[in-house]
Amino acid sequence: MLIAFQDALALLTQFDRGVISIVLVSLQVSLTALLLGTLVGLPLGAWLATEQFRGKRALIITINTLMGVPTVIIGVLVYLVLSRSGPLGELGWLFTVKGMIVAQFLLTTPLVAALSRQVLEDAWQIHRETFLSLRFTRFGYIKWLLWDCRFSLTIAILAGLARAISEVGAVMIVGGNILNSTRTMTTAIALETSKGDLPFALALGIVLLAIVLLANLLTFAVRSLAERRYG
Amino acid sequence: MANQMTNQAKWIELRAIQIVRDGRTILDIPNTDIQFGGITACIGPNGAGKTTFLKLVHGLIKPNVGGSVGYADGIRSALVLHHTPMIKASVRCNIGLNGVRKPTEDEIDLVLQEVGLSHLQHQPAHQLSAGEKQKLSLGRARLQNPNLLLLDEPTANLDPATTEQVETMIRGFAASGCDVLISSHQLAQVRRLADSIVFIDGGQIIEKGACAPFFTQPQTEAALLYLQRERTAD
Repeated sequence: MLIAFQDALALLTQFDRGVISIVLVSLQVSLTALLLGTLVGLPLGAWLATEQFRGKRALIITINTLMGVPTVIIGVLVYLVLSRSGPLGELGWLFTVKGMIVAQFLLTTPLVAALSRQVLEDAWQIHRETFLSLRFTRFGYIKWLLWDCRFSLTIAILAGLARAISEVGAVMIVGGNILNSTRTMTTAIALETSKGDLPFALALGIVLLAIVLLANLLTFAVRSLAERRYG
Repeated sequence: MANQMTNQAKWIELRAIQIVRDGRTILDIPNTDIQFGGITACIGPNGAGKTTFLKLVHGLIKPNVGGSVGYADGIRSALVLHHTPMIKASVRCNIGLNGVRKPTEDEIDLVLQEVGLSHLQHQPAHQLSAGEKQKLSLGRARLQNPNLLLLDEPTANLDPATTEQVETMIRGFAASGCDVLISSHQLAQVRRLADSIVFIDGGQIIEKGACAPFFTQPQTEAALLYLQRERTAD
């Protein structure tokens, strides 16, 4: 085990091209999916937090359920939609980075929407009358509500990143784990471990952990700074 | 910032208003008109419906089905609530919050100066004292360029010195041509500030008219009892 660990560190310190290529694919897929998931999830969460309408509770329950759906289920559904005979088969996105982004977008959006709704709903209770008395339009008060909660919302986005970058099921099914094309850190770790190439799997595991740790540290630092400044 | 005030009469007409919450009638106003001029005080015991009345006038609360609030042409109201939470941003950002139009930087500078918060403009708004928050809220209302300012208990929980400053600002609003409707349970303050009175009790407008006669010769038993109770409490 110690030898495997030493070999893994050697791969990292030598900037192994195979490792770097896989890390870049992972980051490209997960960060794009997170960005899109945030762009959709935050307004969706804000809308659910501020509006009253028939079926709202059912929609919240649905989104909360989607938050915990196994990644392989999403993978199979996206596979069916993108496969040659599926409704979006003509796009040719199956076994491509684009297809993987779609799958991870579907994983991150409900998570960001559900977590942000909770944060924004509490803030809306506090600011509702003030915002309405200032005669803000829906777009206006949602903008300021998101701004007011910007530091708390980093947690929702961080959770989205963790969900995206650590999942293996959806990208494995939709991406096909093709070397130098759709192989991500998680799919590579699963593959290399089964092949017995533990140093390579460990090296990717260390990078994965480092990314999650870095994102957490960054979020923690931003929140601490913000809390000191804005309470 | 020029307050585009005209000498037009400002009034509202309330028709068949009935606001009910959780089975409790908060406001019950069959039919009345209210003429604004200078500073009007909305007074009454706790839970009488003063705050709801202000929110109704501002349009924050919609009238019930069948009820209506009619406004004179050109009324632009601004409402300052008793409790105004600040967003997590600077004083400058908070004072510039405006849903109708974005104030210019010069307008914000001017109002910050008027309310005496220029030196705190880059501070987080949540760090302000209660009095400073109230001044910020009044400045924010000023930036909405209203000609009818609605203030809900603007000096509750403020110390005497800050109360005096806020009262001066309220007089300043009135002097600039912006009529003020203020809810208050501090009768001494009402006597100092108000030109006219709207007395609300149990959700109903019991009496309205000039300020001085209300205190010397109230027309209703409810008003008389209220004044006696408040004087005893003082």
